[in-house]
Amino acid sequence: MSLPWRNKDRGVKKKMKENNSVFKRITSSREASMVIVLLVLCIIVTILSPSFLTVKSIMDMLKNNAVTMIMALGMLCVLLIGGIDISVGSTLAFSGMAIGMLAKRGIINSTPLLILIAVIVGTICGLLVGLVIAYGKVPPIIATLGFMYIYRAMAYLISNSEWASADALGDFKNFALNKILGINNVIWVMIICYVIFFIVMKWTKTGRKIYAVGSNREAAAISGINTERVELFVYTIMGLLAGLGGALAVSIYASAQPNMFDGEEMDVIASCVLGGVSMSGGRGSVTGVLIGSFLLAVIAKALPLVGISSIAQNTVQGVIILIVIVLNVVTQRMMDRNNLKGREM
Amino acid sequence: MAGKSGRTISNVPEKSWRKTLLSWEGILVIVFIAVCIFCMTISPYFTVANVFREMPKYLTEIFLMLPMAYILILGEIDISVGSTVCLAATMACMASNAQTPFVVTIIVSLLVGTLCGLVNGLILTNFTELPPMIVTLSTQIIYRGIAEIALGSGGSVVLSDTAGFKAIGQKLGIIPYIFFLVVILAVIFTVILAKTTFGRSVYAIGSNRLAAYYAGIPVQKYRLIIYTITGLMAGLAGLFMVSVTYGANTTTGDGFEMDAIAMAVFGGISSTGGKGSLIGGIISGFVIIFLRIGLGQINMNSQLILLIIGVLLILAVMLPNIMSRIQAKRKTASVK
Amino acid sequence: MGLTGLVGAGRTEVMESICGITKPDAGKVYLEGQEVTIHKPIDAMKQGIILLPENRQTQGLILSWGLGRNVTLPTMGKYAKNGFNDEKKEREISKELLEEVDTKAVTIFDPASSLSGGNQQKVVVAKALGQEMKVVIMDEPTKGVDVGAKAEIYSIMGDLAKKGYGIILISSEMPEILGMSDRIIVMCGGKVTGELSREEATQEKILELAMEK
Repeated sequence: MSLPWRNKDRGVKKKMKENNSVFKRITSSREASMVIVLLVLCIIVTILSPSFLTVKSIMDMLKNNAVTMIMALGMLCVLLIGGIDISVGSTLAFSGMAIGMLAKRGIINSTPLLILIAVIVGTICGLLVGLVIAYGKVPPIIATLGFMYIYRAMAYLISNSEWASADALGDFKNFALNKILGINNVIWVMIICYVIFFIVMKWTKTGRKIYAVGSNREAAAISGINTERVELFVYTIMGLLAGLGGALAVSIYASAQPNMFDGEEMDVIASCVLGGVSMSGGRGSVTGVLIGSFLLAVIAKALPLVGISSIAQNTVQGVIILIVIVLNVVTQRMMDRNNLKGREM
Repeated sequence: MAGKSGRTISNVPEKSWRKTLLSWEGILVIVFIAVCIFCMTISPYFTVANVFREMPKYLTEIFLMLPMAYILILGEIDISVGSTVCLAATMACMASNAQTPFVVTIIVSLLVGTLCGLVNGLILTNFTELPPMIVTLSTQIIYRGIAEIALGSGGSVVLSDTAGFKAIGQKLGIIPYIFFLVVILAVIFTVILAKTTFGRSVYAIGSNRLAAYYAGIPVQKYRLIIYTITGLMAGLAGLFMVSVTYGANTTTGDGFEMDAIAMAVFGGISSTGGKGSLIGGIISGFVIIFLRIGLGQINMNSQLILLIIGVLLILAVMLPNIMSRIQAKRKTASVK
Repeated sequence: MGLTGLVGAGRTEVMESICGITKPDAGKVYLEGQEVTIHKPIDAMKQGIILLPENRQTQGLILSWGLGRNVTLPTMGKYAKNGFNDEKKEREISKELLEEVDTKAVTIFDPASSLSGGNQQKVVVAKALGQEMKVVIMDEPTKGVDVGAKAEIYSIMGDLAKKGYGIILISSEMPEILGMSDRIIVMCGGKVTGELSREEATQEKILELAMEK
């Protein structure tokens, strides 16, 4: 016995399934198109400078960009809930200076302990930021603008504007030189971070909650998600990664300076933007961030080859980011228009 | 002509001395007096003459705060102003060193600033989906980057002929010209915001952009105007920066956006939009300037000063939020 | 004129295009036989086409503002001298208008958020009355409004019609549409599917036209 309205339902279900597969293709295509751009760019760079495609050159590139790439994971979560954190450079500098000074004064020399301390310092910094934003209800841009200056000042103050140079750091700088199974320690840290974040964001409740808060905060709150706690969590994790980044940066560059990473928070944001993370929250993925950071690193390598001096690199990066976000808006508008037309029919 | 029920509504505004004194602006005046007393006690150099002498460097930031207040009331933000100042100052130095007449130097500085603001405005009004924070974050990098390219590997430029700039740095008695300019502009910006339809529209857009649009207000046109004027004022600030430092380098204008925002936010302008008046902003601007001068006179570490301002900025936004939440909780508790 | 159809039929979208709020894909607007060009909301307002939006809280009012300022929002320029607000005149006019529609409020400085749905709608009507009107488009004016205020809004609409203003009423409520309209246009799926006069209109006929494919 087939009831007349049952048939109608079946027709609707079938249409929805088709739309889903097309829809899925469209959403994943942002990452897909970024991969294509990345591949094209790699090919161009290899043509201009054949030494690019060697294992050593790629490993070097990864090592030099590891700090930015790791922090981009934290920024991903912050951007996903619709916030922003421009204080990450200062947090990195502060944690880096903290352990730099501890090593310099000979108070602590054990590498694992130093890394742990940097991570703890960073986490506390992030926690403060999160408290101010989530519970003090201060808009993220104002809060992180303030903390950017606060933490940077603290970096200068605890070191009395001194540096911790290579010899003062002793054994610590070897961390970035040592390898396990032929792959640099720093790169291992990065791989572990990316694996952890990939699993958490895709398959755990926490990751789901972050996406929920970012897509529609009111709906998430009504569904029982404690949005303030999620917000606090996200900024704390960002601080944690900034602290980790501080430890790694000190090791990689074999020095701790109060002006470390000054202005490079934009690189972190750029990696996310290039990786398809939406500025207003709710959209973005770990794979996207990975591709975006690679893209940024390759662009940085490519620019000198095309004859753009190092002075101009900042400007070019800023322009690229602007172009990417504008293009995102334009393509989104075209997609919306197509969807709307489809609906009328 | 009353309605059918004959009910009437009062339209007489309520004014009370108590309200004015306890308002944010009233408290600010008290804070200002307290800061003056504080600075006078900690530093013997804190005299009227000395204060006026050291003011010009900081007064340039008030140029930035005036339009920034409009942007904050719109509910938006512009963190590229510091970089615009840098670029305008750099271009002004280069124009001056190219032996052009001083008038040309002035025009170059203002024009560069206006263009920077115009670019911000055009991007934001044509792609309204983009958050102002991200766009101005990008242009912040681009504008300072252009200045870096222009400055070359030296990273700085020094004025070869300081005559023109010396002229605008002159004083009338002990009061520098720039102070008069600041006062005039402050009055203009305040009056426009508080008393004109344009000003009211800015508040409307900041409170409810959609309702403002439905009521016929040309939202995008006004936004474009405001961002462009912000750029113009940044160009003006750049000009006066050069008259103080006689040069420009890659760090010129660093941190100006935070100061401008801090001054506005202390002044009671809500960072989420729709509320606040410029009078508060101006008073708090001078509070910050006097604090800077006073603390600088006792040789406090410049980083420490930045730290204090950062803390104050956050507290200025956070405390009212927490207070109103405590008040709200008390209300519901007493109802129970 | 009543404009009805199922939710999603496109009634608000059409009216908003006419009023310059959104850009239409194609089409022309004729007022009193003459074609008029409308690109932005102010163009429609200048022609006397006034819209009372569907969502009074997000589109029709600034909830944090007082009633008086809300009422004079579209007409600030009219009472301004050289761009400077004439606050005294504005206070007088808004008091008049708010009393004319019988708003239940104590002062014109009461925040709009403190009013009930029905009273908020009256403020939106007062806002429209303050402008030069030829045609008033009311989009779901009695949605979320209590019975008493509903009746008052209907009587205001009746008065306006008597005074000769054109009224377009968008509504999904059958009794409202059938009771208030001289003629009814029904839309479905973005297209006009039919027109009924007051005499021939019945609930069944409207529903039939509203669900045509």
